[in-house]
Amino acid sequence: MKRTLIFVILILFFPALAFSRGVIRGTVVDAQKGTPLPGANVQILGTLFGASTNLEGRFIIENIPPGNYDLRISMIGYRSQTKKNIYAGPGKEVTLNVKLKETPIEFDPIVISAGKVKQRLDQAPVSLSVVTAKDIARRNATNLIESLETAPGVNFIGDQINIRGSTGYTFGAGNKVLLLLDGVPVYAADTGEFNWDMLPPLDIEQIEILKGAGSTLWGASALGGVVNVITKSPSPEGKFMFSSIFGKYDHPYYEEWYWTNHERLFYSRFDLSYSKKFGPFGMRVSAGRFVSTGYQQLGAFEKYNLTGKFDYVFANKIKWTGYAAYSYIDRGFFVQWKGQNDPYEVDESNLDNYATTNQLNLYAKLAIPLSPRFGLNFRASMVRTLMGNQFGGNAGFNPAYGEGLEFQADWIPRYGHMVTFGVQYQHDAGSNKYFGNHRGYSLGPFIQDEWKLRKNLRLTTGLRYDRYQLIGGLKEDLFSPRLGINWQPFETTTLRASAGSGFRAATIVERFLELSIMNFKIISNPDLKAESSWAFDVGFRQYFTEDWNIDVSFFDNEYWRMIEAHLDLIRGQVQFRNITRARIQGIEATTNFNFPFSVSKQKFDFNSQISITAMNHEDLKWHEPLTYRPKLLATIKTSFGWRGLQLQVDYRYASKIAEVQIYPINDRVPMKFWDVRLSLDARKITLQASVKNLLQYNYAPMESNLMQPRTFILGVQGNF
Amino acid sequence: MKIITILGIVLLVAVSIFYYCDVDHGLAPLPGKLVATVYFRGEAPQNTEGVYLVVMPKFPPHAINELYMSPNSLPIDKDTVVTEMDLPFDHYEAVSLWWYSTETKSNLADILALPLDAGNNFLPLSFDITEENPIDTVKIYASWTRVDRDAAIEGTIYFNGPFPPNTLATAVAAYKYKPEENVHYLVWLKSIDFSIDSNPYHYRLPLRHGTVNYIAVFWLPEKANLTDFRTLGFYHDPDNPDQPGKLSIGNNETVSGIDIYADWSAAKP
Repeated sequence: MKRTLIFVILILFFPALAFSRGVIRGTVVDAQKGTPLPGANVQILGTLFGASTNLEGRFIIENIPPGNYDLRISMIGYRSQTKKNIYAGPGKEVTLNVKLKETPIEFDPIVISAGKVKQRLDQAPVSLSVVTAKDIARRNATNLIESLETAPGVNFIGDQINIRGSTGYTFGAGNKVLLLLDGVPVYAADTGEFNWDMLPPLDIEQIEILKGAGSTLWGASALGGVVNVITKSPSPEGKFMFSSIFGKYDHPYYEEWYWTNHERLFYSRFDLSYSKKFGPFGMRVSAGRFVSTGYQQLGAFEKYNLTGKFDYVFANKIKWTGYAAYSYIDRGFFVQWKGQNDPYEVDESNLDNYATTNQLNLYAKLAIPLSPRFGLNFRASMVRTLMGNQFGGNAGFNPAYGEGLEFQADWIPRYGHMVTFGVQYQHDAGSNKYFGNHRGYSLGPFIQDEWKLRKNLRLTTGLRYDRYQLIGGLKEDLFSPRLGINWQPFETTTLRASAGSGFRAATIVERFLELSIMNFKIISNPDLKAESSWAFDVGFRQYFTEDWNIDVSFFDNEYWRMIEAHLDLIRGQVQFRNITRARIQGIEATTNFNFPFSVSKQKFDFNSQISITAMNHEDLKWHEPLTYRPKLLATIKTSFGWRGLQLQVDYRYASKIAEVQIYPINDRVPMKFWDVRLSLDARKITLQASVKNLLQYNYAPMESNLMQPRTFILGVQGNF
Repeated sequence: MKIITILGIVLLVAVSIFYYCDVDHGLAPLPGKLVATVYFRGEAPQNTEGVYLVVMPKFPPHAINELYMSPNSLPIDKDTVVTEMDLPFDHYEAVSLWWYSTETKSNLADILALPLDAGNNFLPLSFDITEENPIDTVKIYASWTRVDRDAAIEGTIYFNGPFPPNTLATAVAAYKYKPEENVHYLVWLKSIDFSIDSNPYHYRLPLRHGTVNYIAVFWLPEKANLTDFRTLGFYHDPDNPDQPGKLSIGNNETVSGIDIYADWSAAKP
């Protein structure tokens, strides 16, 4: 009996022991120059198998079970290729020589946020947008916010991200979007806030934005969407990178608004990074400094970053990855302007509003490929956040700790059928004199089954159960099911539909904060229930040509017990409360096109991304718009390239916010920002000059807070 | 060379469009201004945190945040203060001073001064800020005694059932005269307390000594206007139970036994 059991386990999990295997090897080179491309990603679609090219552009994938496979070869800045029906079998060695063409736009990148495993964007059942490292560098982005602000369906209210209207503005406490760093949650354990400065833009490989609820896979807080920041892995060859950005704030548009010597208002950011693999060990370390005088009173800050990513591949292909990021921020807090005629100044009584934040993020992952069809993943993580001397005095803040553990198994019972299951544990603790000492934990087993029903039809089902327990307080049980379909009736057409639920338990601050600030008293609400949502998404993606696609989706996000800040103005109180029901419905359309052409033997490249998101959001109890949410978002990103020279123009639009909470009678206007950039690629150096907010548009996303005036930026980036 | 010329022309045209066309710049400075000269009378109470100039486009305001408020307190150690408030062009139905206490939460009775228009049925003084008349002036006479609450009344409120789930606030208030119109709810108000949250509820309402002709329990549903009070019950004259009870309260005096029976049936729309 015992022998039979062992045999069954071996057959199930170690099929390689029972069958002979194939080998696929090859090289990946630049199509024009013929030079090898180190670091290109080669993925056998629908399996756990993959490899990266080495310094010579060579790759090898061994121990492949017999079968026909599709291989995806991709690299940032190059058009991906799929090699179809490659047969790997016993004793058969396949050799491929792949030539990748350079492209300014990523049309169909590989993503992992849709299903926790790598898959093609056009094969995902949900709506996803991708921001690449190239986009980030082009924008001279100084932090994650600037990297994300032109993504379709995304806008920011202050520091709070809003995906398809999910979040609004919650005064920094709680966020209906989950931020992940390489798949690891990174919110502060007490406030639920994100530190958008925690890692330098130079470290980012790709940002994936999952729209709609994603709790089935990603757990709590993935209510209105997920932002997964994928960091760069150690480079096969020794790579030294630097980025230096200098920005100069222009004078305010109106002379009445001059408040200081504007010649002296600037910011600068400098980042260094080094990456290399030493045999099985790889490392990437970076350091950054970001300082600014701010463009308004209390806008000055000093920020430092130190990050390190390390990996080690053992002889049996077991891979360990460790990541550490430390961030130090000393900054002022501009709560609200003195008045509309002094919008860059604060009341004298607020001039001491400075705070220091220290944050440490750590994670360690272990990927164990037990067989070609079965792999285990373990993850341990920690986020430690310390808000320092809040608002002048020693406010008695203690560090908040968020610790997570996760186990995930990926199993491919047969080709085209993938099961992902596991369990996630999260413990959050925070204490200070404003909200006491509180701890809570959640435990969530999950399972997802992705099944290729036919060659062009994929079905995804999933279920997650979460037990949330506040120590000494309430206990909640939540189920998050999910269903998704992806159908490709033609090679160039994808239809998708998904329904998924999400939830978010209130943060410690939302439940327990008691604080008096500026004539308002924030009062606690220990009985706050977890908010939940259902996201319905139907969409299609059509490739008209190799260089032109369009993606349209219709979405309906339903919320129950939505947590919003409630201002009781009669008693001067602010309290977080559950809104009974809310609904956000809309349509999002995005088109990407690349138009290369020649004039007088000179080659030009014109490419553009246009996106429009129209939403109707409503508090279903009072039939009013939800606060701090625009109804229309639009982005146009265009670039015109000639040799190494590129001219880029971006336009961002957000309609006037219909409903706010604090000062409803104040002027409100839609957002209309133009940014222009000129960049020159000179071998390993890129020089950039740009102007943000070219037309000096004055916009306040929330009451009494103007966004930055016109800003002139110079940047230089190097890659050696 | 041809390419650079084309690029140069494109850039020149773009720059010309941006600089010579009338483009939208979004928010702009407010064009109007109210200049208020405030004459304080008496001594500021010890528990004064500050005094703010308040301008109301509508009176009574729908909510406290639907009014313009000066960003910081006026100096309270002077007899005469000149202050300004930037405003958009509009018609404004009232101007007032709002008092903030160090001890209590904001209170509708904390209107330190509300200039009334003798020529317009003693309604709050209104004014207009227009393109032709961008600056207006107003004189405000503020007696600190209005907010110096040196006496109190206390009693028990009995409700005939549970609080409705759509309760925004339940309050007990004392009036100089019984309000007959909407605006009177603020104009004749001496003191109000919104903290009633249990049944029965023992209250202690601080107020300025003098006469009180009407004491009532009010209820406000969620999303209601500030003066959309529903009267649940009032203090009855013990000698004439159909009439509101009247009190004359001395300095530093607390009048007890002012019990009120509140009937939720009066809260129905």
